[in-house]
Amino acid sequence: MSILRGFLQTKRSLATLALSSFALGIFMFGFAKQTHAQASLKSDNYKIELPNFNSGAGLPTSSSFKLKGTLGQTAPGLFSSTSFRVRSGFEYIHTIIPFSFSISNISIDFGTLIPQTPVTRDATLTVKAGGAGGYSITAYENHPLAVNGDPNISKIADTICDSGPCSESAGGPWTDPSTYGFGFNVSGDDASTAFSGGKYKQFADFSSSETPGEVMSKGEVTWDYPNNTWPWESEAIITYKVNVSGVQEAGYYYNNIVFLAVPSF
Amino acid sequence: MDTRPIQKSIKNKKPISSIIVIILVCVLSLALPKVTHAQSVSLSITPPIFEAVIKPNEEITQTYTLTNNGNESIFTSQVVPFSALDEYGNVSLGKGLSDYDPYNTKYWFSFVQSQVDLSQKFHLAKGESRNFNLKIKIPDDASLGDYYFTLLFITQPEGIGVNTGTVAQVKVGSNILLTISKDGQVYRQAKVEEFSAPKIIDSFSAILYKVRIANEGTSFFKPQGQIEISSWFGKKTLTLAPLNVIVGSTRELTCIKNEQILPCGIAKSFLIGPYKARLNFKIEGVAKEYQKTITQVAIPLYPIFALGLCFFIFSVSLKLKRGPINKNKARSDKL
Repeated sequence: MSILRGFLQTKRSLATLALSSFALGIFMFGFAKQTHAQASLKSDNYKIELPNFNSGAGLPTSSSFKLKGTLGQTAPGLFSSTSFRVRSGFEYIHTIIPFSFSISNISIDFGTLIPQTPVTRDATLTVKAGGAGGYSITAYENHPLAVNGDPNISKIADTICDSGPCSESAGGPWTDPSTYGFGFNVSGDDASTAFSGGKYKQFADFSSSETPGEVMSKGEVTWDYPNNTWPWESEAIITYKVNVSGVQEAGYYYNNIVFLAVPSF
Repeated sequence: MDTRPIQKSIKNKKPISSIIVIILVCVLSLALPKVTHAQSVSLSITPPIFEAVIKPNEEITQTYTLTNNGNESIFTSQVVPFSALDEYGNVSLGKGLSDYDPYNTKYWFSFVQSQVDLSQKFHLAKGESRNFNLKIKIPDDASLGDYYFTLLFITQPEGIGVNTGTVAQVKVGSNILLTISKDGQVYRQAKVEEFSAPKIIDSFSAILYKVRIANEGTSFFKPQGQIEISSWFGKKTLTLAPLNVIVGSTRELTCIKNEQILPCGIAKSFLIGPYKARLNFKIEGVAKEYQKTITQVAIPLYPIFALGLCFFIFSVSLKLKRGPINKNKARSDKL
């Protein structure tokens, strides 16, 4: 009897818990979804009229000015006063989705290099342009691959490709195993045309004041109509390649590659 | 039968077998290929651009949100000047303000209520977001005009293994366009560098207009206007995308329909006759309306070419047919 009572009590408490959780869920769901299409913030010092306001990020502030304007969701918006006018985000793109850049692998290990045996390694680059109208990804190396990271000791020169000379701006074919050096190729969405046909380029050498070379870029980032979604996502594969000759000095060679991801203005 | 010695030996074997099992597990775990996770970086920033027209001796604060969706990492920040790299709105970053700063602009920027200072290292765990309040304080003696900067968040490169290799570092930026003006009145001056399209177009192709606008003033602007196209079939209006044209640069404009950025033009359809395109736009604070008109003629080039080819083949075949008759006729005349 007592076992049955206990069982019933447990069952009742479980049912109560389930019911209260359900009610709480409904309550929270109902409140969380509440949105206000029009908002107006006022004080003695300022007034902000916001037809479409989501959150604070991207909102410019000041201590003593009258602010009045239109804010297309979080970032895009124009504020004006007697002392300044500000706008954050693009006025023609009403989205709060951030601009983002990803690399699947930042630490590339070529292993032990064997002369005249090219080694390649891949990584995936992903750009979500979000609320930006366009973007560019450029890259440069701090210096060529160098023993212990010191180019004064010994280095693996940047490739000049098979028929040469490919550079940090111009690509060239690189299939000959007797062509040595370090270079890279990019294939996929928005990849620079310099890589078309599987061509390779050098990384711009920062230590020689070379201009960072284009990796990916897009000028008309917009609503992704084929997939009917924001943000437009671009994905490309970067292939690093290194090949050394038999006279290359033994040692561990390394450098840093810097990727610059900036939305267009 | 006395089983005690056997039980004793079994009892003694238990710890031995356990040790063997543990050793086996250890050896196997070492022998099995290790599952390694590549170090990834995934950074996002919002807003992507910030524009301000501001008086000297004033300050504004803009909040940026940085999110780390990659592995946990150490970051730093930096403000660098930029100029236009090309005509498509891409930036060419200059040297850091600590290296080259002729206008002493490095003192204009600071983080407030952000737990860290600008250029100070900070840590972000995987999935963590943090707000950074960038204060821009313009000194009283700042030279009037435009200044363009990019706020960068930078990952710190980590060491690599024992082999030859390379380590990637990521810099993600957001652009800042500043105009410093005492009264808000700035000199804006545009020039239509190019408004063009092929003069003769095939009726079954598209018309694409090239619009290049130069900034010859002292402050950036956004052209607000359209291209009005008149033809035998009526009028069509294309809206110019209000893209920023910064001082001393030229920008190729695109068009916009709702939120879709498109090349300026008419899509493939049947086009015939003259197409008169009138570019007109205004820029903020300037009464002048910039205008330029061009005309294209749409002709069914391929059908005309095909008809011409048919006529040519027909006339040649006709000549070939007549030729032998005439020769026979000439022979009979001789006889």
